[in-house]
Amino acid sequence: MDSTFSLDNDLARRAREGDLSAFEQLFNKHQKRVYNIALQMLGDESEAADITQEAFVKVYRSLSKLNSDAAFVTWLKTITINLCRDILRKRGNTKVSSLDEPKTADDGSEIAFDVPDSTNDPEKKLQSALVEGAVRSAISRLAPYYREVVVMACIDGMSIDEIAKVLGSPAGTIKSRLSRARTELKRHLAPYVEFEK
Amino acid sequence: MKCDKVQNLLSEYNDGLLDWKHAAEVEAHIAKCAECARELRLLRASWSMVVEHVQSVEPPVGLWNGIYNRIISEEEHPARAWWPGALRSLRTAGAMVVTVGLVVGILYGTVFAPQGRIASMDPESAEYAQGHAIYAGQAPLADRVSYGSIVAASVSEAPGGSR
Amino acid sequence: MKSSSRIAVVGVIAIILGTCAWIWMARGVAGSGARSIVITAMLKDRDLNYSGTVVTSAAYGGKMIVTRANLYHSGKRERINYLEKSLHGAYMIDSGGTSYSCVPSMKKLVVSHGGELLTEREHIALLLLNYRMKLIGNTVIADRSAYEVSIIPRKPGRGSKKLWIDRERRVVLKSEDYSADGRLRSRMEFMRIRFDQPTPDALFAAPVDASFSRDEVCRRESREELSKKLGIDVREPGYVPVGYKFDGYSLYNCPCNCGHVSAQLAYTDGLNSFSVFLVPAKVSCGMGGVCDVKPNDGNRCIMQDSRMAKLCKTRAADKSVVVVGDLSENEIRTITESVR
Repeated sequence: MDSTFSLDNDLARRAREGDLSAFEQLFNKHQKRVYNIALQMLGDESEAADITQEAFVKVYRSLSKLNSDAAFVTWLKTITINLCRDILRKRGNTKVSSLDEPKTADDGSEIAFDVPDSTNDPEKKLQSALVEGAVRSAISRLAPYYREVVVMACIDGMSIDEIAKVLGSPAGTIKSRLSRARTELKRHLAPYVEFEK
Repeated sequence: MKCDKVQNLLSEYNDGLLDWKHAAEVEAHIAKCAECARELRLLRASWSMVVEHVQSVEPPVGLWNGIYNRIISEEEHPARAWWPGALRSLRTAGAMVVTVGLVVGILYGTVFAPQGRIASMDPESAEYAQGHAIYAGQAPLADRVSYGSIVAASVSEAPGGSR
Repeated sequence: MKSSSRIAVVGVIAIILGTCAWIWMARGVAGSGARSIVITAMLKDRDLNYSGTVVTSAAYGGKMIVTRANLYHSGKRERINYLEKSLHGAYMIDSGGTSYSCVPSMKKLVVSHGGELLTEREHIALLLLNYRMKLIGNTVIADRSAYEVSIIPRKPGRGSKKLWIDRERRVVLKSEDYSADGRLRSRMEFMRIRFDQPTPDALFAAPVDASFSRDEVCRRESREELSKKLGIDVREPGYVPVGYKFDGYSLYNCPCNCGHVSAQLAYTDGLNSFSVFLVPAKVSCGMGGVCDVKPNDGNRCIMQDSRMAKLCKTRAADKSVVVVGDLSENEIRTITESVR
């Protein structure tokens, strides 16, 4: 972790001095986690792509504000979460993930872009798709302040302390939010847990 | 402790957030109550399900393009950057100055600096886009089906009559 | 230094050099693996025969059109039947360098004669010059094993592409096009595909129906012929972005249906392309469209965006200029303003 910290901050320093290729390296390293945080928070691929771009542009503009003690990736995640919060605030309510919604043609028939799956067992494929859909739906139903902690704990395997740093909240608050989020998730996913058994 | 109270505390118990007295009471209850023990198993299993099934997907290729374009275009048009800075300093000078600053800024954004404001394509211009799509769709790796759908949509919307 | 120590040092250096060479070669092989897969998929001169059902979505008119289509491919011929109601039974045929877009229910036929300047080999060379190819992995599309390959510009500010190519037959089973600003522009995917099924020749025959309105929208012409027909000096723009190559002049019919024409100059970089339309200013159709761009509008250029492409139009001396393509705003503006 220490070597990652210093490598990121070194690339950030070079980017601040005008080295765009250093910033591109930072982008390549962290784009997947930023995109997936935004995707799970917003449930929309297009918005997640927009937020990813917005987050990196914002980071680039404010590189001078990154102090040497702060980890670049923590700062990047904070910006990402704040951008997601802005979108959710504008939306006003939670949105069921559009990843679940198949596209429909004019005649009402369904057109789905299948998620590629290398298993050949159709039943396993269906079961896996059902559970994945249920998980996405359950996460999207969480209130934003629960969703944030769940997404960061799952996508990045972040610890309570790391999540607390990103969100700027005490660790105790994060722990109890995660706890209540788990209760909510259990409520939505209980039927599928029985099903998996 | 009754079942409904225990079930409300299960998550905090699972996460080690209860004080030792309440934790001990919950533990004692679970040992005797199959229903509450099942709820605890469900809680743990549903969390495992979330962790296992939250997929980390690959972001779309080409995101860097958009970022690069925005960074470069901001560096090439630094004049746009003065407005937020000027607005921030004008705010401290009082309400009248802020109003004047806003009016000047709006005028600048709409009249004097039209770049950065791209309108959506009007129908006549879209016909030239169709002409380009006909050419672009012939390229070896072109997505002919998508280009073809655009041409077909354009043809079916165009006014009739032969030339 | 003792000879045994010397041998040990030489041995270590040899191992290090060998490892570096192996890594360099492996990366080269991986890169060249992706390149050879893509190049094979590009070759039109393969005697391939396949048909299937495709789902596609493409940006058009501020929204995404999502359609299903049946596709038939035989050698160098292809037919696509669009199944969605909103496209009114439209179909496309590509045969012998000519493309037909037909909407039978509306009795409309649009014909375009191809014959681009650049050869297939030149397209491949341009692609290799301007883009990096990377093999991402293997997956399954339409029950077929496929390579997943990304095509990324060496110079940012251009569109990129992701392809899923059939491992056995090197046919594109799925593709995603991304615009210069990183947004999804179009997507195509085979839901099912069958190889080597007999397809009747009649499927690829040019539509002949005298009752149809027939628009010959695009025809190859020389620069001199175009200048003479249009009464303007048809010439290339002063600025062409690095990596793009000129791919010929065409006569393009004005879409406002008045019967007058413009010159289309096409450019490609192997993957992305743009077109420059030169429209004589003296012939105005009065329909308030592109032909009527007034001089001294106060703006240098009018920029428009449809997500599939950007468009920039302006007036220059005796003509209106329209540039369409997926480039950055600055590039498109510079090209437009460089036309004299």
